[in-house]
Amino acid sequence: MLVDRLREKSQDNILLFADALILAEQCNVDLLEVEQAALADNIWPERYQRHQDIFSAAQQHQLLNSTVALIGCGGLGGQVFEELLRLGVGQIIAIDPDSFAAHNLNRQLLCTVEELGRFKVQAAVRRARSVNPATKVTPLALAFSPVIHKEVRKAQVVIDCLDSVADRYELAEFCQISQIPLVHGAVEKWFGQIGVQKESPLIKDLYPKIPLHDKMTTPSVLSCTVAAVASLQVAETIKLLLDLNSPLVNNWKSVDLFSCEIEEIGSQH
Amino acid sequence: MKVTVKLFAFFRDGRFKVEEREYPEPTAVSEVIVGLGINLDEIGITMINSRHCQFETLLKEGDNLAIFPVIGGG
Repeated sequence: MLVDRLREKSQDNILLFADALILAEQCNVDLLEVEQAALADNIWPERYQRHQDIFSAAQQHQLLNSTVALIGCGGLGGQVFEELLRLGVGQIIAIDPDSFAAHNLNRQLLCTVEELGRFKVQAAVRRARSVNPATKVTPLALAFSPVIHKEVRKAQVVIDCLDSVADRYELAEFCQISQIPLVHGAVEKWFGQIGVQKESPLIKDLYPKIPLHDKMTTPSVLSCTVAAVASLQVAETIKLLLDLNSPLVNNWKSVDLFSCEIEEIGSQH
Repeated sequence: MKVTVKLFAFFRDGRFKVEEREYPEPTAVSEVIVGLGINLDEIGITMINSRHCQFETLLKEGDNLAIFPVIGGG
């Protein structure tokens, strides 16, 4: 019985990572199931030990039970993916039709010299294996379109890491209809923005129209801008998954790393 | 009339962050933007006193106008 074995193996309510791997093999279950069972019994997997003063075991368990859809696995998406892995989100649906090119190396965490020419979502799968093999990643090397709506509906939160306004319109509309909260992020140079769409049409507010050269623009972006905005997106995702309040719901902030300012803008009409 | 204009992100490059400026009445939001050498196509959101406004909205004495660029990278 898995719970009995967990109790035998754990010490001071901590289950060592090596023991979690052994238990998964011996009990013929996957690692995620071992970690879920441990947390349900108030035993912390070692890898989440440093979350203990932030989350309750029940909250960490909830994160492991969660599914998040990541739309775009480039700059923002790569950084968000990394943080979701380390946070312990159990299932990530990773969506991106593109493969890596050398001009992605300046800011896209999943892009390494070895990954050049390979699909971004496949790089995500490989990264998950080395950072958190318990995470179940569903890689979809496709653009966001009705073909994958069914898959994305499995998510409790959708994260917008896209780079086109037209695609963002489509995603935001889908999320509103499906009643899934959408965590928006966007970056350029030293600057970015972050917001959470629930009931209000946030994306239509932020982008009143589709820009002339929407899918042809390739803005310059710093890796520090990407990491800052992606981290804010992950912070909002945690709050949504754990049902914690946030002033960013139906609201947005402008992020300026050059002036060191994060300003709440509001979305009043 | 005096209007406080606040620029965001890269609109600040070579311009200013916040400035109290003098404009004749009537002046529309679009006239302020064009007068700052910013192309209207680059605009994401404009707000007067923290509320969304349109390019054709006319400014009033003491208004705070915030101008944001479209930021779309991912």
